[in-house]
Amino acid sequence: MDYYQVLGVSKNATAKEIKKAFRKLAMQYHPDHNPGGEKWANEKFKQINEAYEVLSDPDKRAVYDNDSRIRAQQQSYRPTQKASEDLARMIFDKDIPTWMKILAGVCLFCNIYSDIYLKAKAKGS
Amino acid sequence: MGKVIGIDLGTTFSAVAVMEAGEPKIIPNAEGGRITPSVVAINKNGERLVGQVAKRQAITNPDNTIFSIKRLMGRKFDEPTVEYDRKLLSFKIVKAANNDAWVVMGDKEYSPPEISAMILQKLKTDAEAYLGEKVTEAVITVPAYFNDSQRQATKDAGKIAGLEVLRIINEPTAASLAYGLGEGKEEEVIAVYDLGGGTFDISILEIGAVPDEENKRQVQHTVIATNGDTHLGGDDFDQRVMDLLCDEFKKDQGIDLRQDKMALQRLKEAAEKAKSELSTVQQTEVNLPFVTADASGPKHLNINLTRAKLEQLVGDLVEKTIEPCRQALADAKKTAAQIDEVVMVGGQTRMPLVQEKVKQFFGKEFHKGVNPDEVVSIGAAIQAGVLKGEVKDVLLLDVTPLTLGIETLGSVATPLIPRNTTIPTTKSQIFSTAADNQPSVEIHVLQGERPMAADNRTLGRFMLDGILPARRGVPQIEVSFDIDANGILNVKAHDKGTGREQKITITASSGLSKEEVEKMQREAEQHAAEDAKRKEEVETRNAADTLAYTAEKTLREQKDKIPAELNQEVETKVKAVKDALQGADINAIRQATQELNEAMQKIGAAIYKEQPPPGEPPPPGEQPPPGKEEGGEEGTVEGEFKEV
Repeated sequence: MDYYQVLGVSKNATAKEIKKAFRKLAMQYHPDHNPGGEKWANEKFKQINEAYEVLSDPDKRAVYDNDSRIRAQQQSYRPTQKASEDLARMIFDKDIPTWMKILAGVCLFCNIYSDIYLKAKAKGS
Repeated sequence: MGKVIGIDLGTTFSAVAVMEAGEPKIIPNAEGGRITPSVVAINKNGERLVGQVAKRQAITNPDNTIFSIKRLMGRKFDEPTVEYDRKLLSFKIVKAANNDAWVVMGDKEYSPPEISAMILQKLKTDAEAYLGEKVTEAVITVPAYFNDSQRQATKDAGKIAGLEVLRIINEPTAASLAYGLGEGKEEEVIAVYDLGGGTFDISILEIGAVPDEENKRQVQHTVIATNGDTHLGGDDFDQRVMDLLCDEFKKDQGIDLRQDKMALQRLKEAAEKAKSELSTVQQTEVNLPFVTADASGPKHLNINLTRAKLEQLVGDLVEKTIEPCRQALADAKKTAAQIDEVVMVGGQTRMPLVQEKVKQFFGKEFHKGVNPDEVVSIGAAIQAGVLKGEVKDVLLLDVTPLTLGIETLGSVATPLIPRNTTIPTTKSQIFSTAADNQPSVEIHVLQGERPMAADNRTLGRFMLDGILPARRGVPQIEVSFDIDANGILNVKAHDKGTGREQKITITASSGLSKEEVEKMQREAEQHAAEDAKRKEEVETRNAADTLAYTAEKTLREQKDKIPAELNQEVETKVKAVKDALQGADINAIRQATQELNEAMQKIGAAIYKEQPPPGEPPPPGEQPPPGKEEGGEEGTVEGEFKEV
């Protein structure tokens, strides 16, 4: 999704132009202004909203512009780059004991975590 | 198409408005007031009272008069705020089976949504009487800083009252809609400072003009930041004054008024009145004769209160509103100087100290064009108009007031949708497992600003299982949060490896199940029917009583004109009516009244027969010949008449 395209503005649009474009589209596509077609309008508005959220924030816009440039330069842009950042955030298995959670919280980046867990599990079974 | 009403369901007062011919209008209640006290009571006869009538009898019925119910909406019994409220409120608060805080009124336990529903029912009935049509849909406002369960509890209240809640909107946002945008202005940034009876809200909004295709001006309201305290309001100010009065009285007379519920209720009213008066005068006298009594006789309370003293008592409460203002400005990335207008909402903003503090903080005078008591319901009516397609040149872009996220490794709350994100919105992120060969993950959905999961509010949780054995960190689980225009949150977890998916819609976390709400709704409907029946019964009884009285009076006054036999008949029937009135059988009363009424008509006929026909007075002393009489259906009557 090209955020500039979504808002219908040029890549070098000013903050004011971006806001104006967003306001106009919001007026048109917000589900409240589309009774009966809420579902479709919901999806459309969410895209507009996402684009505006990034382009209205100078920092986010700079990152987005930079990412787009890299994407254009290297054909082989790897989306996993973002995913690998997220991997640091992990979700618990419900049956991990609390003390393990506490320990895991302390050494989030230690490799010993899984070893301890496996040993504990082996002992338990 | 039926009208949709806008309701400001306030802590101390409620108001209702509607769009009429394109303009929002306040609907007066049955008593003629533009606002209705949010008070519900059950009197000694078991009758339910709502509004002004309930408030008026609070002093003599403190145990069964429920006020400030909004403070308890969506709250658990063990929350510290509830503990504080138990000291503040005169009625009994109990722990329900689901750990919610419920209240006791007339020996029965009620959930806060049920009590709120009673207020809504009254507003609905009054609106129906005003509009002359059924009302089934509404937009209801809540404090911006209400959490999910408090919002859900408000929706439940609407449902119980027989109202479909089209939208819950935030009070400051509603105020902004009512404020509008100055003529000829392109854009304004406003701060809405809303200090009501029980809650404090601050919202920063951007109001912008957006021309449509035909260059007609449309107005868009965008919430950019909101903050507040759901447990700070005028009630707390009253409490401070009450505490002072109690302490002074104890010092003076040695009696603790806190032990005397009736005295306490009088004190509460007096404190509220004194507080309000001190907004316009510098000094007032709280005077409560016979407030209590001891062995030495009755005791009177007479205490002078100055504005300076009041300000000293509540200074910290006013101060407590400033930090949320600062936070809201920071979130909005604005400075105080960038705020064009400050709009004041809620009765407590009439206090000079509040106005002064706000002026100091924002560095400018506040806008004086709106009525702080009515503006919220007016805004709700405008939004109702938007949702019905009646108002097309206004759009409200609302935000989610609290951060939403999930629990991740180390019991950390990881945000997915930060607070003040414009809705509808969708956000997703990829997560992974924390252990090798972990077969499932638990998605624990959280709401709140604290970094640790346990300090935030749980909105729901679900499991995604069937994850294929893999080293930790390898599986990719995409978690998406989706909020629609109604603020309803859908959470989905998707295992990118297996394609397995689990999702939940975050709904009733108010503590009441769907079945309970439906049951309460049926009870409320039944009550409305019973109410109508009771009203009819009272009217029947009153009519019977009045007729019996009139009959006796007539018999006494017109004794000489009424034939003895008829006299006898009426006396018997009066007795029958009186006997019926002793009993509970309403049909018997109706029957007896009907019979008495018929007998009375005979009296009428008999008496008027005596009167000369209008226009042709008979010669004095002459009796009209019997043959010309009318209405002599029964021979006996005629015969009796001849004897006179």
